[in-house]
Amino acid sequence: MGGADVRVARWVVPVSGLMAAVAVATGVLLHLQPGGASPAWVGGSAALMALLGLVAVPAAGRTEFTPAYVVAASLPFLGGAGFDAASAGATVGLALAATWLFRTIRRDDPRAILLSFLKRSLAFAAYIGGYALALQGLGGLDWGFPEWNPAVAFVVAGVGAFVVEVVSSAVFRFEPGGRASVYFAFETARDLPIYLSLVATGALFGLAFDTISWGALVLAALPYAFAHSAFRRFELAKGAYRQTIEALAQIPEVGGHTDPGHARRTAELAVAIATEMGLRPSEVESTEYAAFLHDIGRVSLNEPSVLRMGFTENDIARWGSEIVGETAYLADVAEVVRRQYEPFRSPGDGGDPDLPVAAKIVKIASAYDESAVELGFSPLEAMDRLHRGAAYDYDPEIVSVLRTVLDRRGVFHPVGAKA
Amino acid sequence: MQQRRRRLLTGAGFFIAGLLTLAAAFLVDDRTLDVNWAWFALFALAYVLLSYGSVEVNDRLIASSSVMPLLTAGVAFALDETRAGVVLPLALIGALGPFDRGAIRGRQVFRLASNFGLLVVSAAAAGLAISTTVDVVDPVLDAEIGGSRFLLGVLAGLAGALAHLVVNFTLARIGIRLGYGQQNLQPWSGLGALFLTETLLGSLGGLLGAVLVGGSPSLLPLILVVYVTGYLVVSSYAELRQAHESTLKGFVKSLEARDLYTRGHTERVAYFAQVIGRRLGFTGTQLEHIRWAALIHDVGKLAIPIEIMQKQGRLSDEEYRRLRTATHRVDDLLSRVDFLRPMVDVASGCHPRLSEEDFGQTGHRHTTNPTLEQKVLAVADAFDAMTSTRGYRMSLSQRAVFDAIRRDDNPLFDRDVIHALEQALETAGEWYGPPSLDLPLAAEEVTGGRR
Repeated sequence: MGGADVRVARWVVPVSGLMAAVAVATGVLLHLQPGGASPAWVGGSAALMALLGLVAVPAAGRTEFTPAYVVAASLPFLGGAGFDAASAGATVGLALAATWLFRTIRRDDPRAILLSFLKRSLAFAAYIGGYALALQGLGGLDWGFPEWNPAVAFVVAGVGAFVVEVVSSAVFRFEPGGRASVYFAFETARDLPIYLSLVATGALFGLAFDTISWGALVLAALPYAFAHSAFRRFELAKGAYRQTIEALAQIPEVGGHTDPGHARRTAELAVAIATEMGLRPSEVESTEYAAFLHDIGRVSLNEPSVLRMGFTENDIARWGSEIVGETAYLADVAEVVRRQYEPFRSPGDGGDPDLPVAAKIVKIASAYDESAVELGFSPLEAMDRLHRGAAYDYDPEIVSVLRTVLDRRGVFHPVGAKA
Repeated sequence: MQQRRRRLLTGAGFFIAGLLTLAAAFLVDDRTLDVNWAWFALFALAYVLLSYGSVEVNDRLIASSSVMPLLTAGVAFALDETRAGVVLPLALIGALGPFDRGAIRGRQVFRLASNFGLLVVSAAAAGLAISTTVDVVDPVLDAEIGGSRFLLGVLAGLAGALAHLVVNFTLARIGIRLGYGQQNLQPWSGLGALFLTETLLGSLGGLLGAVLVGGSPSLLPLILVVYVTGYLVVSSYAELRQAHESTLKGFVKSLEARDLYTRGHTERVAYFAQVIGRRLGFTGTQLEHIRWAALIHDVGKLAIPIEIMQKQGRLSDEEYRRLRTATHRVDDLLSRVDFLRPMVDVASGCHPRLSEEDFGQTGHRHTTNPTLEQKVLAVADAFDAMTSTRGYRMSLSQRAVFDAIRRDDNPLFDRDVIHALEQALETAGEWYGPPSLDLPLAAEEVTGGRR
């Protein structure tokens, strides 16, 4: 996120190394328990899982789902190969440590390695432990449909592990910010389809292994390949929208109607404000797109007929929202572009409750950028201009969020003066 | 009116074909309808839901992943101990499929009726393929061993999927051509990937059926999740197509927002470019690309500085340079959009006079050797510009336009391309511009040195 936390804190690497060592030790100890799968099975599965842990599934959120989830999800179902909870745990422990090693050699960001290690250990532990406990509970319950026990235990374990994913993605972060936790939780929740297809594929492999032996590999590989290709296309589609928006946003700049870079800077600031306010990922996204496109109506300003007739800010917003509205996917964005020039309230009323929050954010981010960059005011002066407009133009609540964001970035301090 | 009648007739024809297939399946399937009804209900439900979620993957071509539960049911019934008939149950499941979201919302009777026939016939074909495969292969393999059951499932699923795909796509193409006519269709692209996906989805469905027979019932919910994955695959195609189409619309809209002259021009150029492309034997994907290139070929206009836009009379060299720089900067912006990048080269090379100088310093290539796509777009652009009325001159007749661009020595105006457009318009009986006055001399005078 912001520019404040570029340096990696000193404790990160030792702590994550220690955790990897603990994972290895736990894995070995669990494997030495009596019974369980053979070393070949445990070692082979762990190696496969560690390698697959390096592949990222294209995901909407910032989650790091990998095909390793398929292997992990299949372990409890491989009773035929001798797997029990202990040897499944051993496999996961060794695999996570190996992935840690690979990623460290690959020189990934140590913070990312630590976070994904933490989240995955918790989620996999919840899955394997949850499955074993649920199966045990169902066995004691004797509810009359024992052949359905694996399915029920799978649902319990799968739901439990996903809840752990969501909660841990909100809790374990390096970026500061109070209400922003909500944003991260929702961002993970958005990837439920990916998670679901991964764990279901794993369970399918485990269950079918009894019937069709290694033919089950085909049964697991095909759905995984489908899921991967589908999520890649979804990401391509999103990428097409994003790239188009960024290109469209710069057309008024090329035409000389707005300051170069204004759209990009406004969008960056608007995202920071929206995330800080704890808006949901979809709302943050439409705020960002609206910020990019808030001046798009100005492309009409190279029409002689328009210049002859004259125009108002309202006209520009209307033209802009007509252009954006052509894209069905951006209907929300069109509404924000339509209303982002409006003051948040008029004299004598409390403000229009239907005015989108995103519209107020874009108005403030755009005004700040205009003061601080185009007009050359200092950050404090720019904030002061916003405060003076806080009666009607700029929602004071959002202005104070902007202050928090900028303060955290250290823009109000002279360089080097920060403790 | 005539189109409406054609659609009604086509729909009725498909519907009757579906009914006849059902009757034939009933008569031919001498084994009684003795299936596992719980499975039948479950897979029929999955089939209906997935069919309801059908999406448009190409212009008026809809696809769904409903082939998965269909083939799961087919293979499971074929391998089950009861050895029930497969053709009739599958045809019955197929009969439940025509109710997709789009057809219901649009109350499209034509689509419902023709999809009924389409789905019944292709489901019955899949059933026939599965039962034939099992009858032929089963004696060869020993179905009691796990490994060979897997192989049997793979083969039966594959046969069913191929039969379903071939019958379904052939009938769909016939139906769409009969109902809508070729002229109103946008090109179909990426059919190879779509066919592969549908075949693999169907085979996977069949394989799931083979695993289910004799497997744990706990497999059922997992199979349903795999169906959801199949749904995501098909809808991701539609999503990507939608993303491309609607972002292009955004560009066209911003271009035409306030400009009366340009309004409709890009769409017409896209149409003429496709007409030429079809005549020259372009593939669906090539046709789609030329259409996209046509839609963005004038976006550079958006960035033309106000002073130049307002200037009356000839532009000075300096103003001309600024004009070109602005349009080329827009080309740079457009080429940052991944899916448009190959099209930007085509679009920026199609403007006859703008590309004659060397733009080495801005990274733009000099078009001495225009590609076929650039020629097609240039001819389409010139043809529409000359046959429509502009602020500064009257439109020209079709014949005069062809004469004029034939005489132009610009390397972009390729004789074969011009010939293709002329032939295609003649075949289609379409005519643009005012009625021909057979005055090629006048045309020469009007266009001379102007473009």
